[in-house]
Amino acid sequence: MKDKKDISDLIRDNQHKLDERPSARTWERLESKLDNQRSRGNTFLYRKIAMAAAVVALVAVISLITVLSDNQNSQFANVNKSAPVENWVVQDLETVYTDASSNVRMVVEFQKELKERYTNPIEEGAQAKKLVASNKTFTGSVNPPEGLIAKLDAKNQELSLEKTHSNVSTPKEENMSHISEAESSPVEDVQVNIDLNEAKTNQAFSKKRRSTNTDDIAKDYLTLTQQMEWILGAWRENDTLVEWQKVNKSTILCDEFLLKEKRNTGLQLIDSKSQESYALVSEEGNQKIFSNKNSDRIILENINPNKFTITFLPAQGVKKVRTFFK
Amino acid sequence: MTEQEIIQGCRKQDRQAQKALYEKYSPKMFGVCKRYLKNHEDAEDVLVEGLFKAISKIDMFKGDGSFEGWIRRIVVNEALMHLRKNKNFKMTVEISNIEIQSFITIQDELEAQDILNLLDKLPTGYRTIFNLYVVEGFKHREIAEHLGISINTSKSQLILAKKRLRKLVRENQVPGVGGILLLIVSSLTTALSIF
Repeated sequence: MKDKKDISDLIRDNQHKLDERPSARTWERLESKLDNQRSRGNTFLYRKIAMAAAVVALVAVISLITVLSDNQNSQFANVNKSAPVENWVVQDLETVYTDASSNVRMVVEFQKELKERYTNPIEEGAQAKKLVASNKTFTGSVNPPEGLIAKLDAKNQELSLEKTHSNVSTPKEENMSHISEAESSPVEDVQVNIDLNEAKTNQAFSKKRRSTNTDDIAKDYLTLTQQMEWILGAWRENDTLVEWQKVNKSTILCDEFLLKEKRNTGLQLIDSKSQESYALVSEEGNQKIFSNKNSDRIILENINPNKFTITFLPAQGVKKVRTFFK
Repeated sequence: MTEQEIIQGCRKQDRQAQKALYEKYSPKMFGVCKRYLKNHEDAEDVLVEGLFKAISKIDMFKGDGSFEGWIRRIVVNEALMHLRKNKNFKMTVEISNIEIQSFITIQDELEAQDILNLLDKLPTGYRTIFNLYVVEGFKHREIAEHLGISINTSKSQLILAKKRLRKLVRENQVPGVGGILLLIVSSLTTALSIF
């Protein structure tokens, strides 16, 4: 107890007295720890190598996958390449160009047509001029229906009446009537023209119909009459002479009989005396079989160009055959 | 083996050098460990762990400053980690009745056991900060950073530690060699007087 001294100083100054060799076990523990560390270091090294290898493998696998997928893509790309894009484009262009060329061709053709039309114009005449078909043009080829002709005649008469009527009127009016005549006459012409056209169209219509029903038994309007035209002319039965003649397109007659073709009923054979009508039922070769309501039948048979027979087959009664020669 | 040879040898992981390092520094470091840890086994564990770290991380010693100081810092740190790990690292707060009476009359010399007795009777928090501040020479700021406490806590803990130490000294008057002799002599005289 020499001096007053702080306890902390005392402890600090005397701390070396605590120094002490630790037990021998401590070194052994430290040494084993160091050995462990060394081996652990090795294992760490191995582990590091293994990890690096794993990473490398992973990268390799990923790159392989990407490369493979790229290859797949590139395979598709190769497919595309096998039909090169340029070719596609060319093809497309070609189609476009062919389209274009066809268009151009069309245009050129149209231009040609236009040119031809200009060089050889269809003469249409002035606007006031009307396309009028005269009666003459039709008389040759087509016989206008009698009614129509009558109608025309009546109209002409009317016109003539009008004319006469206009002649009676004052000179001023006369002038006017002249004008009216000039105006009216083309109109009449046009009307006639229309009528004729109607007849024409009817004919055409019937033709059309005929062509559609060729297999029908009642062959059709007019054709059957035409088929029966062999009967025209003079025929001899025993000593009497019978003449068949064509009255119009649908009618052939002699003294006893009338062959009439109608649109609805077909060909009919009418007995002039009894006014009994027999409708065409069937055709067998050169035979034409007609039958009435009572099932009485008449068979018209063209045996050869110089001979035909008319067979009467009443439903009840005796069969009767009449033979005609040229 | 000189210090340099030991360092070089340890860098090459030479077992002889490592052993030499152990032989040279383990007593001192064991003393350090004992100051921080009451338990002898704990002190040994910390010593082994600290020296192992020092040897295995010898490459981190750049050669500036003393090698012993470097090892010591590692060992101290290890001791602190050990204390923290075992969760006996609580700061005892006894702010009241702080007397500042830094000087007491005790013997100049303290035996190892005396020191250990004194330190062992301090709570862990007191002892740690006392050790760090007084013996290791850390600043309060460093201690605070190191232990994750405030500077004021470090200061107060140090004051409390000193106060407790004085109390301890007063209570069991650490007898010096002379004192013991005196005690023996006095007891002998009393015995003779009886006879």
